[in-house]
Amino acid sequence: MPTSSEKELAKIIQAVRAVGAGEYSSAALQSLLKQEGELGQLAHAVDEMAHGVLSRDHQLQLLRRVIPVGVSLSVEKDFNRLLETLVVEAQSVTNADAGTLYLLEDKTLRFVILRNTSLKLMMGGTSKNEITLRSVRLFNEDGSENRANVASYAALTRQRVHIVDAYETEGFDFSGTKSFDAQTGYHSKSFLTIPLEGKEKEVIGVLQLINAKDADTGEIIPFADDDVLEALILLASAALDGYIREESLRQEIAKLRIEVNESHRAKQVSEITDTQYFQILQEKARELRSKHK
Amino acid sequence: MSRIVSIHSFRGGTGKSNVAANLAALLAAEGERVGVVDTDIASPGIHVLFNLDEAEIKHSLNDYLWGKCSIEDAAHDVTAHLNSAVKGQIFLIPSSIKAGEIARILREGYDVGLLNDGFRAVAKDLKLDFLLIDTHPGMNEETLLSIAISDVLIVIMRPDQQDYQGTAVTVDVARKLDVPKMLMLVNKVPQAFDSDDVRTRVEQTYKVDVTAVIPHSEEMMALASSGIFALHYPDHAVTKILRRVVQAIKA
Repeated sequence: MPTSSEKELAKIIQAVRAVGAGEYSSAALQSLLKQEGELGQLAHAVDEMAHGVLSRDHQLQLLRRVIPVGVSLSVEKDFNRLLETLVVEAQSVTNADAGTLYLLEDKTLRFVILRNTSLKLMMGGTSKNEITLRSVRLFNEDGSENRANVASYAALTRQRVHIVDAYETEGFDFSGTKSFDAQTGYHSKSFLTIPLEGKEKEVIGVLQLINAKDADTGEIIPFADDDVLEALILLASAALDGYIREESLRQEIAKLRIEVNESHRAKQVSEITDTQYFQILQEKARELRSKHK
Repeated sequence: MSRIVSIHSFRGGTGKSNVAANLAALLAAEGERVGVVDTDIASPGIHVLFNLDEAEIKHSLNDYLWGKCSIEDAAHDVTAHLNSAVKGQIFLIPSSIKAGEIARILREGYDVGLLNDGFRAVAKDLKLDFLLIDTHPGMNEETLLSIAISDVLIVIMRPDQQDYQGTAVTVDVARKLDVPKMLMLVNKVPQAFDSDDVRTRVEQTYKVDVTAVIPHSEEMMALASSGIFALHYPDHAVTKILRRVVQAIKA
């Protein structure tokens, strides 16, 4: 029979192993942390060390994860792939089952990407599927702000919106979501809606993440704050903003303006056609063409 | 009956000779007998595209205009120079590339009427299906003559401020000469332009159907002076566009 202190020591050894495996939580040492003796002190030291290791791990993860994504976003020349990467990475960081991205154009949030993992549904981006979902207008017909839609709300107020359960939330109109669910048999529950801002702090789009899943159970849970997501959004917004700016500049240049001075045109033409040579030629050409007909 | 096709642009640098050479090659690839006349006497160049060396040029258009030879003597069969088998045949009538001869013809001028006779004679004697005339930019007498006798006029412009006014004048003058068919080509269009937008704007401005909007192609530029692009890149987007122009010529 192991003594109680042997049992407690075994718990500490287990906790140290858990730190190594990256699975430590303070709960493992809960009973020991309350003790005052040497074992209690040891448990405290392990707990402190474990938290230090975890936070460093987290920072490392942040670096390892976000830097490559940031680089790939900033060098991406294909706009559709850039948009898609943004959604894919945001989904992956938050373990979200679905994600949508809107871009703000002419006071309207245009759907550009829709991805739903469990429905295996992809629209926009590099998929060949067209977006069938309707755009969201920021303003109603009467000119008032459209705050009923969660995406337009986020764009108008520049605020993030956390929704725990779309079907239990008042104040937002989730009719679009509900009709999507009705058509597909999906159940949209938790939402995180994030306005994306450009260099001048102007809203350029809205990212919406849907149905965060518990990594172990797969249960739909509310979205949690996440440093990696924050860093990703900063980088993605900058890449998006840069691309949009470049594109609008390019379009401005690419608009062909053909200017013809009409009075000069008439004068230049008559300078040629009034010559004797031209008139003889015109006559001859007529003869020739009628002959060959 | 051979058909006369003039290829013209109001300004230089539009890729006129290049388009002319490529259309000739594509016509020949479809089994046609094609003649190409370089009437750009002041700045000849199309011979380069057909890999015709100065040494190989026995007689030029200049010699014909000076009465030194018949027009057939100045016609060079360049079919074998294409480095690519074609069913038809291409005859090139080059302008002289000798500086002294260029200077002389510019100084002394020549009987423009002889050009008309020459075009008719060479088309008949060589049993040409098509005679392509690579014209001199601008609106000089030989260019007007070429337009006047053409069955098809191809007007080439670039999306460039320098081309707009002159192209308008060309179109008006060609209309007064009752050209039966006028095809507009917008060439060297930067990739940033939307080709449908370019087409619409050009059609609105000139009231002429745009047969082709040809994007600027680095590959074409790289090959521009060393061969016939359409034969080197038969599947390239630009080649496909040029084939549509060939169909429009024949239609």
